[in-house]
Amino acid sequence: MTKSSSSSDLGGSLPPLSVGNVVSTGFRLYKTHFKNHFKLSLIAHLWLFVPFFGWAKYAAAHGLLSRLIFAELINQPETVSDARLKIDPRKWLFFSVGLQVGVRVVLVYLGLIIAGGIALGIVGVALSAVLGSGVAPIVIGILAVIGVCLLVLAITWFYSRLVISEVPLAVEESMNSSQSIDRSWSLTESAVFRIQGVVLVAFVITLPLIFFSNYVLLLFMIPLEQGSALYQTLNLIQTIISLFGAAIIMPFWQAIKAVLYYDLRTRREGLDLSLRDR
Amino acid sequence: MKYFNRITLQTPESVELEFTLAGIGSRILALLIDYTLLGLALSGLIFVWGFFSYQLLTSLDSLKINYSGLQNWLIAIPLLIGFTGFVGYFVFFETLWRGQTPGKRFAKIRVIQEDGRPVNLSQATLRALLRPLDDFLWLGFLFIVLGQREKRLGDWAAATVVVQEEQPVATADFPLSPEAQEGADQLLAIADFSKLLPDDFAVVREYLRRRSLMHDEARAEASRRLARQVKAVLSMTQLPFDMTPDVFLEAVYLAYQNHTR
Repeated sequence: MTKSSSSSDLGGSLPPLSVGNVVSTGFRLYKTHFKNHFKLSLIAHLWLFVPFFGWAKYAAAHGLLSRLIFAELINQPETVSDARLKIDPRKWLFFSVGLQVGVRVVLVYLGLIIAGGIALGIVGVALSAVLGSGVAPIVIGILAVIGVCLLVLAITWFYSRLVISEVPLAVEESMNSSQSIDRSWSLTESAVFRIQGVVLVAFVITLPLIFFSNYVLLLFMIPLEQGSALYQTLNLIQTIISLFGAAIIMPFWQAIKAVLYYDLRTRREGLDLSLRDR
Repeated sequence: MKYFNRITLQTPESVELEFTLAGIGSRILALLIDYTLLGLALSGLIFVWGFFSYQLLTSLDSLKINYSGLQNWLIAIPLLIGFTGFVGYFVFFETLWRGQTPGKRFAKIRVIQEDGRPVNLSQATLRALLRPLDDFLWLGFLFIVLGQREKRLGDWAAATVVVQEEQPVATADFPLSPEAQEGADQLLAIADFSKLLPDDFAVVREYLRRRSLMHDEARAEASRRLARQVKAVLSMTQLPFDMTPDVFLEAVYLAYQNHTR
């Protein structure tokens, strides 16, 4: 005999969470609010078709979704319209956060690739001279594989530090865009390994949807001629499906980020440590 | 814990046990770790087997022996070993470690029977055999997130559930400052500690346990906040002597324990 019950009616705050529990909590909140948040996300994705102003609205929607989930986590739920009053005036700041994070990640990525390439080139020339042309390619090949692994680690390390960049701007008062990014940088300082775990597990959850919304139709399009009417139609349908897929996934990531932000503040700042009102 | 499904199980002796279900995040984390370990082991196997097969075929060639049927075996045997290894890994660990694999141990979750007992050999086997079906098209994922009891097909077939490991009460192993005991004695003399509830005490202890990992500024703020709240609960207007919020909380921690003894 078993009976099940949900404990979400219990009050109180969450203690520090494990990697798996961050994802489970995020997923649970995502599932609970799916209808409302999907609608917000879909509208945000439609804004993408309007240059600049629409893109700012799209960036702000990320903050809005995370703010709504965070409010839930601290037991002070907000209505969408209340949250929007706080978020909408700051939409250009969200846009700026998105730009700054994007530029930084691309610059670091390019920098690492160029530095790695030059290093590998120098080592390669040196090794060929020392070892001769027989063994050197194998050693260089192994070094290149190690280099790629290090590159992936470095770039995910860097991204982990910036992953919650828009959340402080959405949640905390009187923040500007660079303060929000700095806040992400300092909150994530000693948690990179855990964040990489959270991002990996969350990514696995989104995999089937990414696959279906982006690739399944493409498989049918491969044998078709590129200019044909059928191809064009399928291409349009594919775009619409991808848009829906992205709109389904965005609230999930924003929920994960909100829980991550909450969890980091719990650990770093004792957000949950307070005596109960009586 | 909030946001997690809980389940009440009844043991054969009619004792009710409450568990927190594992949650999708921990289950995927455990699976990723187990599959990484299995993947490494199987790649090792394929490498060794490939080397062995190559050597065998070369020597048969040089001896001019006809081996036309052999190649099929050389493919079939590692497939068989691989499948046995895949199933065996989960069965071996879940039976030996009372419902845990290395991945589950890392993620702090455990498989148990629906009456709370550890899984047995046949249940672990059934779960492992149905695993490929559960992984196919993320079927198991859908079953876990849509069902109230988070059971994938293998869990339904084997009548098992996956739960979080009970968190042992964290050890009270944190350093206190030398003034704390003196402060505790003075607090006991003037304050009524029966007003402080066990929940309040738990929060103070939790702060003392976690404070070393906290950010300096935020830590100062948290200790001031808690000290103010505890002072209000104990209806104290001023402290017996000048002390920092941290020392005050340490003294409260010690005094509360003495008071209940």
